[in-house]
Amino acid sequence: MNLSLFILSIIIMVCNLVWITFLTPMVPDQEWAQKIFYLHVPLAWSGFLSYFFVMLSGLGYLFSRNLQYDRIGHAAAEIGTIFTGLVLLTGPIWATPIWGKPWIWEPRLITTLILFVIYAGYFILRNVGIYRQRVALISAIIGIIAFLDIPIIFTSVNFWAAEIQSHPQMGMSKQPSGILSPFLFSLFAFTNLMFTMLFLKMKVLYLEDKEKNYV
Amino acid sequence: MYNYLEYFLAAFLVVFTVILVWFVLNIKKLKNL
Repeated sequence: MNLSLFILSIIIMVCNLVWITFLTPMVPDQEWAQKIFYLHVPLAWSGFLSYFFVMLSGLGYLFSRNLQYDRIGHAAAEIGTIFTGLVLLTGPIWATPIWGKPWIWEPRLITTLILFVIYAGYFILRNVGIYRQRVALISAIIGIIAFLDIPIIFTSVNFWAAEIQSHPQMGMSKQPSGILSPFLFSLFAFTNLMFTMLFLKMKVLYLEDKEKNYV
Repeated sequence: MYNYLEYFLAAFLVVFTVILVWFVLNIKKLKNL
């Protein structure tokens, strides 16, 4: 892995955390709980971006049958799943004081949970022990199909009747001033972290494949 | 002033503990390969 990218990511993330914790304004009613959104939304964005790479590398593998694409897909799927898992943890932590309960069976939450479960299946499949090229082929197909859930997550707030939704629509323009800049910086910091993790994981997977003589 | 601070700290700890553990495991793997 590129060490300078790793160090840069740490510096950016520390700056991000200092900004979020000490320099962002308090939102009335939600106070500290609102600051969870500086973690929650960028994690969701980076996770979905990661899954986008799974889909692209899946297509790449289908057309080329090059295992390099499978390694990119595998690495991106792992990071996407970790980030989506963290979204599913930080969401209920925020919802407990604000909604009064950690989970509501509401469209965006359900579709996100489905995405997480699909990728849990993806990793079970990767470990069933069938031969390498078959795993790569099936993973590529699942990665492409699973990505279809992401536009559904984004538009889920429009698909179902408004009265069954209690999900914030994240209309940034309606937020108090001073929130947009740290939010955008946090998006950048988590995207940068995602790429750092992706490069590290790709290196690990490459060396694992090399050890097993697949490269 | 400290309303819901514990929820923010919980989210913060969960996120960065998971990411840190992931880095430790993968850097260990990288060194062993």
